[in-house]
Amino acid sequence: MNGRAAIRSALLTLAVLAGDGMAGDADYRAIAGGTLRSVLPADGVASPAIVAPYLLRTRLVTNAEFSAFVQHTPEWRRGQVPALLAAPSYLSGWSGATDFKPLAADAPVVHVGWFAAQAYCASEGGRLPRWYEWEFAAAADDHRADARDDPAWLAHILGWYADAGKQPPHSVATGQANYYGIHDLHGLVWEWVEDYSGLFVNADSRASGDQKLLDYCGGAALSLADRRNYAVLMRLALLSAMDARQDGANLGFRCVREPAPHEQGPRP
Amino acid sequence: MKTQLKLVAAGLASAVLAMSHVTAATPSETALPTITQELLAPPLLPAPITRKTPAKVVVNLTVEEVEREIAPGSRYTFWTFGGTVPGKMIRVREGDTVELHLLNLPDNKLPHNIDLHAVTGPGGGAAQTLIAPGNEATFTFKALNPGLYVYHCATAPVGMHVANGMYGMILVEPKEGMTPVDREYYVMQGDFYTNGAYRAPGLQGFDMQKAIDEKPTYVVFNGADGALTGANALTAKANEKVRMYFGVGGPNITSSFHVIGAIFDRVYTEGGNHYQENVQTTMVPAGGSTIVEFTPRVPGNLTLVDHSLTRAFNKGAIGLMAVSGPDRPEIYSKGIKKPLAGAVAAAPAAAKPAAAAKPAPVVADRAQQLRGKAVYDSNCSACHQPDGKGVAGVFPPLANSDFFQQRPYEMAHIVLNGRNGEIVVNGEHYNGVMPPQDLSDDDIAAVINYVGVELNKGTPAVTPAQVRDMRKSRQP
Amino acid sequence: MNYLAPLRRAALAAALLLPLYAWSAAALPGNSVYRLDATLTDAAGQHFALHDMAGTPVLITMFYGDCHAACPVIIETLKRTVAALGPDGKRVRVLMISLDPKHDTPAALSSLLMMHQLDPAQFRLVAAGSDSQTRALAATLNIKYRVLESGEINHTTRIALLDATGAVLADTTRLDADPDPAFVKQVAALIK
Repeated sequence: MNGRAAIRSALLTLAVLAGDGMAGDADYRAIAGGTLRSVLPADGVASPAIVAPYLLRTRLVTNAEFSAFVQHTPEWRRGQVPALLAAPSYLSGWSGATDFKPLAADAPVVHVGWFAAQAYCASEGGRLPRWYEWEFAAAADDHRADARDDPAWLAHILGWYADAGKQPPHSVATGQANYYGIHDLHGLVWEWVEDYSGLFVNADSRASGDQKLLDYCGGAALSLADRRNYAVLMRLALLSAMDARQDGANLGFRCVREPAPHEQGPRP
Repeated sequence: MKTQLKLVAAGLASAVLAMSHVTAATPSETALPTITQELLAPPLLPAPITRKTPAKVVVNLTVEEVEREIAPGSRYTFWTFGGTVPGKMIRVREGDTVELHLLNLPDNKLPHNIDLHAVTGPGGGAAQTLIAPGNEATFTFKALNPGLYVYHCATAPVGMHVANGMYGMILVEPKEGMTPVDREYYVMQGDFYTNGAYRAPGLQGFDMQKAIDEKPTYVVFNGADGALTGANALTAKANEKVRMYFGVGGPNITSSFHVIGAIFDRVYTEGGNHYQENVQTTMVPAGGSTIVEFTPRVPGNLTLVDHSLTRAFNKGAIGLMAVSGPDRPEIYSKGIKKPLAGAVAAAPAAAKPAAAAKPAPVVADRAQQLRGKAVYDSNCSACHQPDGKGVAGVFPPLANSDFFQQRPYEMAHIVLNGRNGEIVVNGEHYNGVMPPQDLSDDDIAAVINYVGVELNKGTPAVTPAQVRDMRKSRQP
Repeated sequence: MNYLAPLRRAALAAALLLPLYAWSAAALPGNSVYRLDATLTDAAGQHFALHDMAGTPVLITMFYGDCHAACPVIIETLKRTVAALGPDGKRVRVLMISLDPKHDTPAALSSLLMMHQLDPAQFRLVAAGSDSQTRALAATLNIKYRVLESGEINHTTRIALLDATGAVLADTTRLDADPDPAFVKQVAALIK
């Protein structure tokens, strides 16, 4: 099946159903999914995760796109959002409630909490990616679906941490897209996931297994499967430290859509 | 499985103790005086405790991610407690209740937490204190045991957080207090792993593979190559009793801690209650500590090292303590050298300059000038003064120096090999000892050219290649 | 099953995009839990909005039906909390939201009510419309949960006390059949 045609028709369908004119512009790519040897084992011990097919936004949501969103939906503007759903630092880099200056239009929007990010994704007919969906796409480099056994690639990703991150992030998609056609899964900002609150890394990262059964209701809590992948471990640590209404100077997001029924293609 | 869980759950449910969110102050707590911990940048530390009763000590410790020099010309992004490596020292008394506030500043990138080895309880506080940037966690514990304890970040990946500098110490003084001394210092050793080589210029990144292989680029005291040398050297007067609180943050390397020129009168091994006496070198494990006491007797520089020597001389594990006071020739004499009777006096090993021809003009290079200044500030300015004026009769001037202007090439030789004996500079006689400097070819060329251009209004005269040849041609 | 997905998506879009209709919206403080738009379905199959719970004190928590470790303990502690309040206990309502909307259908919730002998007039067992909505509710209530491959759900425990406007006055994370006396005191103070 022609991927591009399929995506176009999916986008059209979703745009109609979501009933909101903004959905048309963003580029989403189909990712077939499959098994994922994840840092977070699916059974809490060792088994791989199964990732169902999904459509992933190729670029992080930018300041310009988020500004258009809050212009359409004033209840998500800074100053109007209830305190339950956003922290005082929401969009704190922006000069106005809809004006993102002095930040760049095509830089990823940051200082956005989980509720606001979910609302934006809903406006594009989608939702935030789940952790496994993010990890699946992020395992790729520019020519391989899974580059995680390549120490040079892991070292390259770690290079982002040499920069103390005091400046606002630069524009999206300045580098090469990865194997799936997705930009900036590494090296630009942290990203929200829908199930950020299920990442259950014991805040003391050295603990393994042995948790009181009732602490997490039967949770043989997450023993991290691959401790070599420092870059992914740091993302997990950050997401598990977040609360939904909080935001961060280096935390942005992108969205995922479910494929329309005729989109799913053959089972992996 | 489910039935088993039900039974276990039933059993546990009735037996499990409250992990109650709602805490009530215990009667004794409300009677405790509250003290706010004064935090000082290392190598300084809070003053000894004089009170004889317990208190509640409130500690406000920030987490700061900062970029600064790890070695002259070489920069690194450190993750720190309180903005320093090591993190600022906490000092409490056995039996105190410590209320620790950990503040992750909003312009940081990463989540952090803290594990204090002084805490009795799972994780040492790590689970309760994991916070994203822009947040504060509060955690209270009782210091049950006296001793000198390491604290460090325990957020995944722990090796990386510690390798980036997230460690410090907490001293829990015993109830009866510690014997008074004249001077106290706080020093920690750590190993750093960078993509580039030792002293490679520019911003360096963390090298995960080197960390996993335990092959550090730097092994340093207090977070930088040169943190305790030059203008930052520790100081003491002869006959002062000095106590050093020394720890190893790691992440990996155990230290063979030794002070050249001093003997430890007491070593409280591993920061505990009992001491050994008359120790030359003591082993301090990663994540461990020691308390050493010694009394310098003669003036001069004492050198702190990790006695695994290539760490000291090739990775930066060197610090200085400058001791002032009167000479004591009966304890320590200056050496006298003379040739053996009957032996032909060997020519002084002054290697002739390799090229008699005038070298090709050397291009002035901004990066080299900056580097030269950095080298000058760390190595030369202590004696020759920051402005190059020298000290009359003791250290010759380098600024506006006729000696330098006439023979810059020989100046490079002096920096490389050292120089004894009399020289005349600007009409003044000097008869001191210039020790050879442990600097790379690039650094020597850079500093000579800096002195030439900035302090003598001249042009660059020496290239790193020439220094390399000079180094090769000297007698071993 | 999949043809429902776009509709659910539109519903979610609507729920998150449309402004909160004024049930005295002005009376709801900014941090009120009822500021979250969520549609819940109870054991009787009745749909209602989360903010319809406003007006009386509410004990709110999350659980799931197939849970045999912590959840029975949570239910027990809630029953005992209400009992400990005496006759005033009638003034408190209990809202238990499922972490597993797919399996906790009205029928399943109904049989849970019976199994635990809960009075449906006071105890409302409900499920949200989708996983995304469930996640949003958990986020509001500071409850972390993770669905394992087996269908088992690991989750933290938290019971929050909401006043009439939906602001959180107190909470307890204690997992014990006997309720935390300090928490009970705060509930009692509110319903006087």
